Amino acid sequence: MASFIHFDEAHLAATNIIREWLADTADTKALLVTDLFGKIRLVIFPRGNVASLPTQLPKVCGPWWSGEILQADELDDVTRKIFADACQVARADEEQQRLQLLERHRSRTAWFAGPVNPPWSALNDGPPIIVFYSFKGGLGRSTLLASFAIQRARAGERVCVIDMDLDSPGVGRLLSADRDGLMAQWGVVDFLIEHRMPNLQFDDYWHRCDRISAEGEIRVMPSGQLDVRFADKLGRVDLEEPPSARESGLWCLLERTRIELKPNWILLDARTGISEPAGQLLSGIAHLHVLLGTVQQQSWQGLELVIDRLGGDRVRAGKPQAELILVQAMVPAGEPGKWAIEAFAGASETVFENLYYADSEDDSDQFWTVDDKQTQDAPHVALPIDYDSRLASFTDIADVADTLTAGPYAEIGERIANRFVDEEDS
Amino acid sequence: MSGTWDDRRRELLSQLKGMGNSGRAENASEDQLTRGFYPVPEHLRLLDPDVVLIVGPRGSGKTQISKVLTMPSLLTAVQRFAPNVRLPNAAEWREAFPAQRHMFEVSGLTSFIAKNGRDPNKLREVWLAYLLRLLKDRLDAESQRELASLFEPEAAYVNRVHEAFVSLGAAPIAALDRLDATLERENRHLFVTYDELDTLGSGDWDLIQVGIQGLVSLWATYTRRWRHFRAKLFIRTDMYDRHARTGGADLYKLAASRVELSWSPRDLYAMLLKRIANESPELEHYLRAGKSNIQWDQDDVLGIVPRLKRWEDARPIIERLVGPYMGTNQKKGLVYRWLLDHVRDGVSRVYPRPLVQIIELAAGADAGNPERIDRPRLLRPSSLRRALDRISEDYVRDLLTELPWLQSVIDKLKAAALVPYTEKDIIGRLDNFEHKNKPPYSSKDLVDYLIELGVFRRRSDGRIDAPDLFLHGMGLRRKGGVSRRK
Repeated sequence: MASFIHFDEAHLAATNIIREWLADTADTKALLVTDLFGKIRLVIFPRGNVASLPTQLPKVCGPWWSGEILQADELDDVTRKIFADACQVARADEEQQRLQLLERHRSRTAWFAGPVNPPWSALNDGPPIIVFYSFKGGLGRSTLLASFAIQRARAGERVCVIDMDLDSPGVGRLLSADRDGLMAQWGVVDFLIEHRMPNLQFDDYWHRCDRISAEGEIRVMPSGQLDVRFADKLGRVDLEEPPSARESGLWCLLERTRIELKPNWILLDARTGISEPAGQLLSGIAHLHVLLGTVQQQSWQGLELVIDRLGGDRVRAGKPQAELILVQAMVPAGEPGKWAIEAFAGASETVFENLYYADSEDDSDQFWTVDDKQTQDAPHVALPIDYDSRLASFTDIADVADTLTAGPYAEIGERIANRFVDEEDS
Repeated sequence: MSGTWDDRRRELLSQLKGMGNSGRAENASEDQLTRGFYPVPEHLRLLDPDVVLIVGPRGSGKTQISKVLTMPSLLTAVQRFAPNVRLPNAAEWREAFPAQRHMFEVSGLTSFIAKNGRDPNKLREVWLAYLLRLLKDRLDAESQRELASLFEPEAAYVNRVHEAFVSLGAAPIAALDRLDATLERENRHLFVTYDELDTLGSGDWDLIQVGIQGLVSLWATYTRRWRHFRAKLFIRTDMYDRHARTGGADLYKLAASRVELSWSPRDLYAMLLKRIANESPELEHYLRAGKSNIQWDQDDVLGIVPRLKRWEDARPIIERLVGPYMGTNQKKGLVYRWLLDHVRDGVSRVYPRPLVQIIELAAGADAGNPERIDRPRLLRPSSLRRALDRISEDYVRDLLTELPWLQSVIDKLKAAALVPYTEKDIIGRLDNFEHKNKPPYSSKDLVDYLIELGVFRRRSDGRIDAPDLFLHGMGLRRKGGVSRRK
């Protein structure tokens, strides 16, 4: 029985064969297209001697081969233009510059869009947008976000917290208006459905969490009321909108928050995993990304994808890395904790060297390079948070607010705030 | 921004670039030493007569503080900053080592060892013999008569000096006993200092080791015997760890009261700001014009002394000098942390010398740069980054004078000059390298030694990296990183 060729294997094999073919072929470029169903086709610009490709490609791709090798100059004008335009958005192969790779996706398209920039300058136009993200759940991401909100509020500032973890809301309830869990009747999901409607009242979508904010203010936009209609509404939200599109729901949400609520900080609680909302939030739309991880391999596997997206992807495209701070969560006490911290630090330095820092080819102010590692502020230098059983089981945020403004939380809060020092103040 | 600010900035830069004598105490004038000296309370404990051993890594200020001890004007100023330290009465200071005309030198010592073997007890006798020769003018007439044969041979002839010493039996000790008794009657102290002990053997490890052991043995034996006649031994940390520790019981007697010349971030910034503030009234005014929690004291001898409660107190001033970040916007870290982080060695020690140098060199570069920067900034972050390469070259060059075999290490690594190395790789590359003064270690132990010296750093993943302080000077570069697509 013929063995099954997996999609990954077919794609890799096809890429390798075309790389070799291009190496022996001058004045030719190629576009390898993988469609929504995983089928692979090849377009050659302008034309080339395909030699043994018609035999090799079906053999290595198996059922994934579409059967099509298209010579661009034999196509009609419209089709040729479509493919030529596709080359502009395709990704250049890392090994063969004349090969472009175009992937069509059914979902999570935000993960594949090119890097974007935040909608405004944090220092000039403010406020900073900070995303809190963890690949795996249960690491204390929302608690960490809440701790930063409390610290800034206690410093007299106004903080807006937006619960973007739409599939599994949490921070809205964590920072509820009272100890009984009272929240705004409408939230993010509702805004994303309704934002194009006239006469929308932005104040309908947020509440205040006053019991912990001291002289400052914490304004919270929950995901929405988790009632029988929530799933129905969630199914109506388009989370595939390009994050850079100014008419997208996310962009409008951020803009209106800035204009109407006038916060000093906007904090976004992101969905875990490789989800659609996470793809949007990790596209570069934020000024800073706080990433939580643990020493476990599963955690690192996910973090590597994100670190590459925020770093390596952007560097390869000639853009400065998106800024991030790494937090090691759930560190056990005693000797196991010391081991965990050392192991995490070692893994972090290696991962960042491979996936985030630019090489040291030029001394640009714009990029973090491998020569910038030797500072406490370097992105790969993680800040550890010890596991604290009290924080796993508290009833109300007010009961642990003091803990969240001290120790490692204070250190992380300071590190975040230090990323936004106004030059005018110094 | 006016032309006036540009002119003022250039004047301030010109003063800044010459402030620290490139951070070196060996060549500093008395005035520079006074201006540059920052009184760290723990360091000042070395003035206590019961403290014999002072241990510190290269560049930690050993030489400067040993010079301070011999300057009466500075000593009185220091008393104001170390009220809890037991200070000697009417102290007199004599430099016993490094080599001066009265001291032995390497070839003589080598010849002695060739004849007598590497016996620390014999080296102890040699040290004692030369000590007596140094102190001849302080011995009473009777002692000078009794020890006349000891003073005859020229200093270079170690064997002859030793033979004369041995032939005198108990007379040398008796002479020093009488000296101590005289000092006690006069209520005075006499200290002899030993510094730069790495020049003992000119790179000969065995010679250095046995020499240090002999010296430690001498003072471990007699420190309790003489109450007013004492020594101060300045030993580099790696030498203390490797050579002195093999002194066993002798060392323990002295180690309990030793002073470690380590620098906290707060002391380092206080030292730096003191240097800058005392360089000129204009620089003092510039520093004090910024908002900070620093208290500025005026001392008759030490000049302006900044008092910091925490090292973060220096932040507003550093940011005034350079700006908050080392790169565009948030990139490359906060300046006030970057400065200390980038002059750390591989075991995270930070030293005063490179911290001062980096500011001087950056000021020199910016003084010659016609481009304007906004008031009140004086320095560009890029100038600080570039200064690091120069400092690394200087540091390695200095280290080569003490450890000439290091050049062979550098040459061996040239073929693969990218860090980090796997441990196996670097050990393999250093296998069988030859140098006449090569340490008597296997290549694995040699790597460990280089890590101990701070030249390399062992990463958490076990690979061997080089800190910035040594990276460029050793001709190494960092591998890895994502390439920008061309």
